[in-house]
Amino acid sequence: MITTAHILNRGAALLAVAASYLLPAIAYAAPAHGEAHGAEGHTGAHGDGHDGGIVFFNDPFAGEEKTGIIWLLINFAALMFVLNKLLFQPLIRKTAAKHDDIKLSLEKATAARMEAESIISEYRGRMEKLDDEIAELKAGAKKRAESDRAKIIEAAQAEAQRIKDAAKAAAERDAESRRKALENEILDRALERAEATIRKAIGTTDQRRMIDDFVGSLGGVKLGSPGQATTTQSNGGAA
Amino acid sequence: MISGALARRYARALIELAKSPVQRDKFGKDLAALSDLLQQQDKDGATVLSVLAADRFPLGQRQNLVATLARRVAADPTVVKFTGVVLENGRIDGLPDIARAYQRMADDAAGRVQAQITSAAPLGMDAVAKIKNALQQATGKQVVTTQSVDPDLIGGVAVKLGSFVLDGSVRATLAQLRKELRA
Repeated sequence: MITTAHILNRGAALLAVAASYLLPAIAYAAPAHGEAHGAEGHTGAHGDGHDGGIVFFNDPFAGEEKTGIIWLLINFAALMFVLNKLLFQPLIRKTAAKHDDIKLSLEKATAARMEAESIISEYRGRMEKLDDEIAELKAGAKKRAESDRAKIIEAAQAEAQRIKDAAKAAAERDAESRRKALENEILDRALERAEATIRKAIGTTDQRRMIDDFVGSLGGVKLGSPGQATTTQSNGGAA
Repeated sequence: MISGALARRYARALIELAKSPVQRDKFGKDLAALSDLLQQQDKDGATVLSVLAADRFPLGQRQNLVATLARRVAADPTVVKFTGVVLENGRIDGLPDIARAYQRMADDAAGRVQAQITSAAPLGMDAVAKIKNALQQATGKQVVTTQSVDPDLIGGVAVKLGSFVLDGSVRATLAQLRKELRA
């Protein structure tokens, strides 16, 4: 976050840079040394001063080379200070941050690579075991299939036996029922014929005899109160 | 139609009004005759009993109708009054039940029993007498017989004695034979 103090610091630094450039410029804007001396003639002992070394445009210590070098060093130190503040420090910080980022990324990449290698190794191991697993699965499946097959066959046999027993019982019941119906039919026919024969054959004498038999059968009977609901049969010798 | 217990209660009430056995039998005959008359059907199948039980006419008119019919059968005045009470109580449709219950009670009181003799062919007097005597010996009571003919019996006789049925017919013998053979 950029604060007011940060802006002021940055402004002061810029002023210092500007001053370091302006001071020489001011010196440069001063009357040329040659011109000043042109009027006086460009010859003489002074003219020897342009032959070599550093020339200061606004040299306050003209003629004093040692002082000029010191001034130059001061300027240079100021420049380096400003550059350090404005350029080198941010550059160093940025480079350090980038270094850290790259280092972190590198660590992450290394970890990822190691993980990938681990997974690859694990899968390679699994692949090696896969054939065994497949064989084991096949054997298990075959065993289960055989077991299921045996169970299904057993159940089917039991069901078939049950159906066979039920069919046999139903057939026996049906046969018994038909046999009974046939017997009843034969019996009914026989009794019908017997009834018809008796009807034809029965006469007054038979009727009298049957009444006598009925009366005779009552001889040994003692009837209680006939008010009770009872049905009895007296075989009066009709047959 | 009314319940047996209620019919017996009415019958007992009437029988207690009889002062002698003769009057008791007279009440029974009158009540039976009146009941038969009330149950006679016209060509549409309607009976006087159903008209009396329907409450469609005023009670007075219905009582007059009962009294007129009672006079026609020469019923005892006590029986006429009794029938009026039954009508007033809304029990006239149970008069046949009351008459039957009365008959049983009167028979019991007189030491008498009703016997219905059914035969395949008409019976002679001697045969009826034999049967009657045998029944009297068996029950120890006086037997009053009525006769009917049913050719389906094939041969022999069947006697309904109160609630007993003594079946000596060929039909019963064949039925018994069929039952035994099927068992």
